[in-house]
Amino acid sequence: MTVEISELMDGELDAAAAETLVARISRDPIPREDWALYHLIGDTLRGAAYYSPALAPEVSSRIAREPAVLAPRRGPRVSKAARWGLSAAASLAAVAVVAWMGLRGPLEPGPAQMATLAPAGTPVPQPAPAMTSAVNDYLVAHQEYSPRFAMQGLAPAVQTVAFPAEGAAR
Amino acid sequence: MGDREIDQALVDRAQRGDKQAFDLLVSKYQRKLARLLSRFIRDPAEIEDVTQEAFIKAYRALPSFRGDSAFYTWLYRIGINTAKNYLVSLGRRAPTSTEFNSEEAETFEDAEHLRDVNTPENELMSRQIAQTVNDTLGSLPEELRSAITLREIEGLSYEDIASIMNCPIGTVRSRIFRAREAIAERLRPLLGTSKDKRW
Repeated sequence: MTVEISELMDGELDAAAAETLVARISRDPIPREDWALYHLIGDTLRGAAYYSPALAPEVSSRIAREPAVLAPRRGPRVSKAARWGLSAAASLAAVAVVAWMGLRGPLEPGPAQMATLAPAGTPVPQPAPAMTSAVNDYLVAHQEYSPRFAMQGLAPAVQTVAFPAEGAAR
Repeated sequence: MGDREIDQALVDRAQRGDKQAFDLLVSKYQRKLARLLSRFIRDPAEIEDVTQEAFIKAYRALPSFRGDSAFYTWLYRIGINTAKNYLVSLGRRAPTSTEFNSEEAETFEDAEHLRDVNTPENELMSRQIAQTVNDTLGSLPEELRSAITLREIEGLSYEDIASIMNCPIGTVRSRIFRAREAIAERLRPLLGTSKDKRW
């Protein structure tokens, strides 16, 4: 695996191989050691004469005591060009839908709706009145006992008023 | 996958709760960050403390890292702010923003200035590491020495090195790896991480 770590550090692995290797290195202490050693070599060759054997283990130990960070996953990065392209495609789609609806003309009832239409001149049955005038009178008389007036303090302030329908028999 | 993308892959893993992924970033950037901070803080023990603190702050701030800048640019900003706060807490003068910015941090190379960055107890080991690396490099065959020098010091890609050395990219890959392993083999006993001692 050390050859791959060397390649990874140099940015010469393709994305898929790099992702897989990064996952393996973070899981396995032996390649982690190689990773650290190769970076030490690189830094030393570049003149970074700094050595602190306690620093990384101390940070690691402190992080181990920290709660794990769980950041929301970011979606794939969308470039400016791709973002512009998506906006243009959405606009074109909207224009196409509006144009298509305009060309189709007014909506007509479909076959299922037409089958239910009654022939002209056929009397349409009307629903029967839900309540008779006797029931109305009863409800008006007992309205103050209705549960909707059960709220404390409301009943005394409400006065029930009934108006007979115009033309109804007295 | 370039350096920035590798860092981002490690950050992504750390953001999903993989603490070892963050450890890899620490082992990669600890020396660069410590050297950077040594421009503001003279005492080596304090440099180590502030470097540690900067990494911890970076870890805690990971959820806010969205990858708009490179990870090391972001880390260095945290490092500089940590150093400023540390100096202010001691009543010392903190560096101004014009004295240092993150763009300078990215290209910061100042080995001469950093001779006393190590604590006295680490100074000897630091010198031994540098000596071992240089001696081993000097003893390598010419093609291995050139390959790793062009890569690590000049920062060239395998393709560029292949062009300069007039050889296939696969050969460059192999030479750089063999050079690294040759140096690593000499360093492992010194660091107590010999392959024989591995579990």
